Amino acid sequence: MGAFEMKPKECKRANRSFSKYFDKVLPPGKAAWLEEHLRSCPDCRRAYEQYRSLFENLRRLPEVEASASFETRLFARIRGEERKGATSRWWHDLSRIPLPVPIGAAALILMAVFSYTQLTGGGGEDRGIEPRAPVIAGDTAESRENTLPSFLGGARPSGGADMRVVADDPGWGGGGSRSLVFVDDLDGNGDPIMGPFPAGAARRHLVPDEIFGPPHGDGAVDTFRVR
Amino acid sequence: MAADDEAKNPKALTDEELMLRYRDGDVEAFTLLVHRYKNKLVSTAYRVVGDYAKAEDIAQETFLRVHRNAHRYRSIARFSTWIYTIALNVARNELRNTKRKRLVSLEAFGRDSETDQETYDIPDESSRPDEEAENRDLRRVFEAAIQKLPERYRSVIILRDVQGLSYEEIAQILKVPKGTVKSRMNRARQKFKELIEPVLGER
Repeated sequence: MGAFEMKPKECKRANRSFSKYFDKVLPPGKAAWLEEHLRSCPDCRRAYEQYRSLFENLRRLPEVEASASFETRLFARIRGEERKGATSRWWHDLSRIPLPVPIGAAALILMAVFSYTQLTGGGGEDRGIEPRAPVIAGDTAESRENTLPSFLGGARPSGGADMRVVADDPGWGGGGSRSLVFVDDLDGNGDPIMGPFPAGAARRHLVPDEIFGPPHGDGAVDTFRVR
Repeated sequence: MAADDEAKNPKALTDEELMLRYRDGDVEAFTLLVHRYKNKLVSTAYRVVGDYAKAEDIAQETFLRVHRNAHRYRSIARFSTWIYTIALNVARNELRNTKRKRLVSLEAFGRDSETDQETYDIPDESSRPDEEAENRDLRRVFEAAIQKLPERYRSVIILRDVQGLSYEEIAQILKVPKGTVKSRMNRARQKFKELIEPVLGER
């Protein structure tokens, strides 16, 4: 039997009230009784002082600080989720559009034909471009990086040159959404140029996932896949 | 005019006003909420799970859930109640899903309440960036005693004595009546006192 059990009933009752009294939620009548008891009982008074001191110290426990990279990581995760969410919402919305079977089938056929012509260089005439070779699967802009400096850093041609947008490559060269532009009939030095181009025009000639590389004297171009 | 100026200053806005702004597309409002709550959430989570890296993960997951559910937020509830509810749910899931690391054993602290083993474990302090040497010992004892409490007591003592929430808020967060919070608080403090007194008595 511990010391607590040896105490009078009033002392046990007082001890049970400490928590509410400390939090100031003990009803006024009970609080008045406890205060009176604490005045008359040195043991309970000492016990309550220890109790109060302990939990006041606990309340002073310092906050655990988040690491310096906390916000950077959080906002990166949120941006990642938003990108993922945008894609999934796009597919989700698309899947909810009721398409009659013949229209759906026709759309699939059109997409297949379009993909084929893109991969084999077909449709070049529409863009006024004759790719010398089809896109090489797996060939990347990064893997062709060594060929790019002359392509990107060429001299600007004289006025009136026929500039064509052949690709829109957000982020390439650190330029954000800058479009790639080159001329295939140069001012004699064989260098293409790259530069910003009106957005509408860029879209009109956009060739997703493809960039046509440095032009040759005959106007033909090499092709390679960006991504 | 003063009221207008105050309304224009996001830092003067309440949590609830910031959350409503974020719900309506104001990203800066969310950044301010993160500033206000990141340490509170890491602290709470750390004291629930006893692991700093996990506490950061829990706090991050909590903010992510706030972000994902921003469109559902209504100003009928206090923002603090809402975010602590999420944080505690995530922390409890973490407790359920992973075995807590027990790094240091202090036999003098008595028997483990869950395993009934004569060990007492305190969380790893080595990775804590905010440690102050002069308070380390007392703090370790307190943190260890919190970890030693059964989960239902640990939650109330963290929310009330460490985070300073009201009984009403704690009742909402834990989804129990206010009277239950009061009685649980009483028992939690009694248990905490029993755990800590022998250690403090030796100092």
